[in-house]
Amino acid sequence: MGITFFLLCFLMMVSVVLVASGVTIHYGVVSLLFAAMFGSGLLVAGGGSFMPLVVLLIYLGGLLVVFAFCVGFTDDKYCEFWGVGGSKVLAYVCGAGLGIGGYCVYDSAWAEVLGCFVDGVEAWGDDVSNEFLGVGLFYLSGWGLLVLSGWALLVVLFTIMIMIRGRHRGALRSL
Amino acid sequence: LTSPTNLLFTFSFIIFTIGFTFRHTHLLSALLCLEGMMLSVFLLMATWSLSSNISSFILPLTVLTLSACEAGIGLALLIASARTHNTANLKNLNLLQC
Repeated sequence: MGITFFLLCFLMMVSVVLVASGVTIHYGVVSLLFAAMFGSGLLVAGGGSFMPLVVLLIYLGGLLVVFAFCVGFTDDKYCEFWGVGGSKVLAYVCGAGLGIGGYCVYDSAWAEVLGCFVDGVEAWGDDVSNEFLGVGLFYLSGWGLLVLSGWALLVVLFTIMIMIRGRHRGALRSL
Repeated sequence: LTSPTNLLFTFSFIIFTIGFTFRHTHLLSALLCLEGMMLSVFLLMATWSLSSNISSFILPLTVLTLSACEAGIGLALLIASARTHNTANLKNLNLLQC
């Protein structure tokens, strides 16, 4: 279990630095995908079972598919990787970030050794985990936020359809 | 609370913010950093909800939904400008430049 936690922390840090350092968008999208996967793996290590699946469904299955589709739309001819053609200052800053992340990973290795691990699966009843009851609060007392989120999604759907329409003159026209 | 996952998510938020403020060549890199910021905020909220007695996940789920909306609109802007200028480099978005 210890080496899994260590690998999750380390690989997440590497992919976070790879996204933020502004490489070619193809590499950026794939490393954001890996960052989401390792982040949800860290949620599993923290004791959750529903939240990581939510992240995997909505981020990987929904959002990143749309991102990859848009990457297919816009072409990028000159491939860059970590300071070869891009900004060197940003590469050094992200190298410093990698060092800080290495400290976090080292801290996680010691936390595993010392045994102060986060284990948050407690049972309210005897056979039901805390997490599903917490998500069920969405329907009980958090119905206002549920209605608000649904309304926001509907409005965003029509906004995107208007922006993509492109039959007019101006800055947002189609070719 | 300074457990290692909290530290990792906080530093990844800081690194995404730094990557967002730098000027990239492509607009999609900035949108990816924005998405990374919202992902790390969601992971922080979910870790806090999991490891405390307050077991309500309303806040992470709502933040995830609104960040999905925001990413969708950002991508629509990217596609619209890529159709107009044939690429989405940040050098082409210079209509308001004097």
